[in-house]
Amino acid sequence: MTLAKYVAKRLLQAIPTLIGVVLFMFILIRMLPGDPARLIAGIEATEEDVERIREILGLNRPLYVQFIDYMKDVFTGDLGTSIRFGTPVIGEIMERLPYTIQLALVSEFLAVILGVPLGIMAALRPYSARGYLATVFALIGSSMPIYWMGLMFIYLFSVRLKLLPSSGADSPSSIILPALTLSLLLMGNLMRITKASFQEVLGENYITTVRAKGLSERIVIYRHALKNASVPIITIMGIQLGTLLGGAILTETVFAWPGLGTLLIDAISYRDYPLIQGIVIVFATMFVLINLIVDVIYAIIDPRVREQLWAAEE
Amino acid sequence: MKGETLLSVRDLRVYYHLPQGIVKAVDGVSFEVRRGEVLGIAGESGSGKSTLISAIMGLVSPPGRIEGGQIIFEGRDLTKLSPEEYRRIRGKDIAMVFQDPVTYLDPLFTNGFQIAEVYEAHEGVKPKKVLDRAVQVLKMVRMADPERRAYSYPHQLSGGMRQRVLISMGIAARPKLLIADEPTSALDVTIQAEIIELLMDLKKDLGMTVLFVSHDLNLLAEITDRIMVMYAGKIAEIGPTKEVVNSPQHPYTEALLGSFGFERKKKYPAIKGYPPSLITPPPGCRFHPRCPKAFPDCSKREPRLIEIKPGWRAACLLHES
Repeated sequence: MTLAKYVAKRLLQAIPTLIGVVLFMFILIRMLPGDPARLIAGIEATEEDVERIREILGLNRPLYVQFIDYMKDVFTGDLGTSIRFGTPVIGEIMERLPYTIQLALVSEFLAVILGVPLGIMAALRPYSARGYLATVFALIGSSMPIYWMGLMFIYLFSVRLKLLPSSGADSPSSIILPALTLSLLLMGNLMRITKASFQEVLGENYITTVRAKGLSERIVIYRHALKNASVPIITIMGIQLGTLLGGAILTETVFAWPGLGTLLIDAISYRDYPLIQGIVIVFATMFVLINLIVDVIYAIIDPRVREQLWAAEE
Repeated sequence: MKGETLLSVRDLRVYYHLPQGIVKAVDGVSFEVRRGEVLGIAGESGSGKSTLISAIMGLVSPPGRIEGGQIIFEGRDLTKLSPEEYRRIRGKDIAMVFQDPVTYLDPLFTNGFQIAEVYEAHEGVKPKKVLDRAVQVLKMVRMADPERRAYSYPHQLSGGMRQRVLISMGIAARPKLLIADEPTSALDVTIQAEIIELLMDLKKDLGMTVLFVSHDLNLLAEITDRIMVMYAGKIAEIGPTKEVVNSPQHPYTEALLGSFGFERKKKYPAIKGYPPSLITPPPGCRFHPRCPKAFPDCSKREPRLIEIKPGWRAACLLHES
């Protein structure tokens, strides 16, 4: 069993998962109150007009027929037509997706380059002033409500200092405030996990062995401790990225960031079924992909996991 | 030169500063290790033997601290070295074999890599470039199929094989002093004998001096030249193995001998009670609450190490009266 084979197998296994997600969403959305045909037609439209719209959209057919039709389309890359915009859903999503990915990656990157070193420092010197400071910083970062922190940043950097744009994505600097806000939240969690994981690993006997061989503290920490402590850190990073790629809804709303989060909010308020379904399929796909990437990273790090995973696949 | 002093520990004190108080884990210990000998260090857990070897390895870390005394190795006082100077000695001139082969190996690196790291530490070479030397060391410790084992991971080996990997790390740089900390206590009895034999052969082949730490006095009786018995951070008795085992001069040595082996159980009473608290040790002789031979003076006066014969000393008031 090679890595490539394992990945291929996992991707195949993801298909039933995704079909399940689509089915679940399909049923759930149709259980919601509210009539999309009426919404499109407007309150003053006659019952005949609404009925005609229902027919055009295929909403008057039995549910299972609608579902099978939809699945066929999904597999050919057609996610339907947005009720609100009248354009292909896939187009709407593709327009927003790059913004969401960009915001997710930049925030996670910032969180990692800040949170992991701070966590290591706090683990190495837990009782020092710097250690306490790092811990307090992390606690503040992860316990502030994101909309409040976002508004404070807008007030400080946009209104007062007039340094950065407060909303939209019109200039390259637009990403700074939303990414900073998000990364502070992410960083707090990362830092706490890094600290806890490092403290545990540094107490392990094999760390004493490394020191007894005469290796420097640099190698003790950055080779042996970091590698052993990285599994929980990567787990958290995976969860964070998965959540972010689902659109950081609050942050995107506060900063009017044109990502999938704001698109989803719009879609829900307009009962734009095809669009909601499309977005959820994209979320689910990304979640599955990130889980796979995380599992592959585990396997690369830990030979025991590698053996287990690949043995289970045989 | 065989017989000359390799390591001399003088009035060493290592304390742990805990919120509950100060633990005097090693409290005024002096002894010498001669080139080429096997010195056994015996004692229950809590006797200070582990702290003593951590101090010799330069691995005492907070809340522990060396409070005083000297550790003189080849004429240099190790307690005066900078961390970097100590690092250069650790693993090269003084190396260690740990007791538990499961937890002392890093699960994420191959056995060969972990052995080769010794060369990285002391020669600055990349471990991956000197894996062939790791294979050579694995051959020295009689590992079956050493080429394959160098590229496998610790979890793929049995306990006995892992212990051979740990020994490989200890001897990779051909140290002058090898400290073996209960290297067989986690192994099956059959493998124990093999590992002991291997260690003794390596000692001879490489001309090493060995500090062998164990709670098993009967094992030490078979393989050591001299024995040092520790109790509650102090030396209870030190002397040539044969003499200490045949006519122990400290009641604690007697008690330890009684804890192992059927024959001796008849001769010596089993050891009663628990090792004392090192934060508030008993007054006078620290062993007196558990000592079958204790007399009133024992709780008042602390015994000194009294010479029984040249090279044989015991700290018991029975010898002071």
